[in-house]
Amino acid sequence: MLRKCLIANRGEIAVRILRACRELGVRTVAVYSEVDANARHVRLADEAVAVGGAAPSESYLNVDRLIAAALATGCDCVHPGYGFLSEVETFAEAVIAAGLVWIGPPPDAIRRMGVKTEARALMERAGVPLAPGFQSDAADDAAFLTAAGQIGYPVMVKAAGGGGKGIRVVYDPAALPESLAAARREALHAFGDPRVYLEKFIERARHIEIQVFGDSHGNIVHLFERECSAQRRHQKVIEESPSPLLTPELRANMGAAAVEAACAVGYVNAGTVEFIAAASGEYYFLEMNTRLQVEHPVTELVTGLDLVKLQFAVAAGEALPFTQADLTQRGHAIEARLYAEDPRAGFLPATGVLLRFLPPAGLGVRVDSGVESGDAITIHYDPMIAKIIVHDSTRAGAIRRLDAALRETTLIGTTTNLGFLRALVNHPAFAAGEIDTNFIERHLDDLLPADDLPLPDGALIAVALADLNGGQSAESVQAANTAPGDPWALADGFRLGQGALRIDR
Amino acid sequence: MQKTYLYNGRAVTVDLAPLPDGRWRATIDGREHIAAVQPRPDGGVTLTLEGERRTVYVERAGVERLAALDGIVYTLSPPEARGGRRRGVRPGANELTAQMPGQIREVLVSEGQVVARGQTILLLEAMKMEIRAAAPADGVVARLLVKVGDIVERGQRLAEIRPNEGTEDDA
Repeated sequence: MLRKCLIANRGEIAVRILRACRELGVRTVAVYSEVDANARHVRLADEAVAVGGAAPSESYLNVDRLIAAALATGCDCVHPGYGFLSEVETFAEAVIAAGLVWIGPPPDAIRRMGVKTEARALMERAGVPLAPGFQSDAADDAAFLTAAGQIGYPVMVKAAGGGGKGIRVVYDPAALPESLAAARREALHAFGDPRVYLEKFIERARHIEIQVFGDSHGNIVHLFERECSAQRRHQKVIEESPSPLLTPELRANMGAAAVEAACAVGYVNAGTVEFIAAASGEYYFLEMNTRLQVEHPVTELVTGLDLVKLQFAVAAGEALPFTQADLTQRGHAIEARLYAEDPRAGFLPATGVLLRFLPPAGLGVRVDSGVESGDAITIHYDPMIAKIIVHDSTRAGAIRRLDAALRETTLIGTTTNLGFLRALVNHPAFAAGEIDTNFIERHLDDLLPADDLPLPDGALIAVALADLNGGQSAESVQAANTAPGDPWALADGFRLGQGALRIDR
Repeated sequence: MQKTYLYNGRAVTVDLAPLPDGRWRATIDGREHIAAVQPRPDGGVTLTLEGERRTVYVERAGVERLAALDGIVYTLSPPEARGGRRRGVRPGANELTAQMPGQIREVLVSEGQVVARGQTILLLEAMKMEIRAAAPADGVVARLLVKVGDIVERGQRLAEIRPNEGTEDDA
């Protein structure tokens, strides 16, 4: 049994892991950069260790400091969360070499899935469907041109080093040599590896991923799919399960393919196999993410499982407490990512102190967040404020619940994508389940909030009433009006122990 | 009592009068409402207008008033602060401003240097994004107002470019 865990992350995922630890009776050690000393994940942890400067390279990516912090506080395990060091096999190796339990997949599985060309070759041998493609370390442009002709345009030029970086779509042979050269340059710059490969570009593609889970006793199951087609520049915005595209047969086939993919690398713990699917139902392996995903709550809501607690159990050597046949998808779950960003200014990130953040609540509404009222969104880290996840018995019900939850969300202090999210979930194409990965880009004009919303009279009245009282709440305005002479009703900003001092923010 | 604010660059005025029963008469643009005001312990206020309830949260940020209602935040500024946030207003051709809050990653020019319109002056980084701030016109870098490592707000001036003759107003 694990006793004490260092959480090598920040924000909402650190909070999510902390909560699981509380339930398991595992003590928690948070780490923080100098600007995160009062962050929510630090406030909630049993202990906290400063690990360096604001820049991630100095703190949350600082392997030596993180290992030292785990050892100094007597931890016996490390959870990496997502992002940061979660898919860096040298970190996993360093954790294990320090005698600590790594709550994640074997370092070798991380490495083999990390190099995209190697993962493709591995999947080919395992019989997992691959988009028609071409890879060769030796090939010259002529060989690429021949291959692209055989695959059929449009084709994508992708970097072997991975990620969404430097992907180019080529519609015409004449443009291929230039795209190859540019992709090689960018790949060399980003990964120190100029190798590129070709893959068929699927138009109107859907992004469907399968959650897999393995234990150290050789059991691997899948926990069904999540559809994440609502993306903007490869950044997921809304995720859901089940996918409106999948039939039971397709779901079973894709699940089996994902389990094959995981078996091929001896996978243990939580992972996700990403596929690109065409509207016709053909699907192709995209990549495997060897970590817990941002959107894991969607799977938790439809399966009724706690994936983070399962990660601890499996890392401690326990067998999965279920088989594939025991698992079902119940109802429909949708997650929306609330970001500090300005949709009307090209979605550039925004910052600010959250003067007031009142997340939604109620039946079937879950909010995972790393911030509360009074916390800041800074320039240093991801601008995600919260994940709002809803669950209902049907997809239509879940959409209505999500819309109501977004409407109920009060957030003052930074610009957010709240209006954009509401426009997206209310779009007829979303209701029809017809979102592909380019939908947001194509329909951006429909989705951007109006530039000049009329001001509701209620908002103006509330502001004016607050100002009548010098910026205090309307409480004493009403009291002054109803109970003249009552000392409690004096609108002079009096507060116990503070005199009549008022601080403007 | 009359209160006037700027909303999206336009003046909006409400006239408030207390009524003997504790409610308020609010008149906006000739529309008259009788408002029952129910304060909430968390600082919000529930207004009942014509029988319909609305809970509004109001916060102050400097001179601005931010009112949140049904998931939307409305920004009001005092009438004297014309323009408020200057949304949609283009900065002058001779100044370079930050498009987003961030940290100055790299400064690629020095004061006195001749630059071409579109030339990258500096790199600004926030979260996982990097954006280039480019010269708005052909000219000379008159002043650099930031250095590497500085943290800037959205809209903050970064540099002054003295445009060459005749290019000043082509934006």
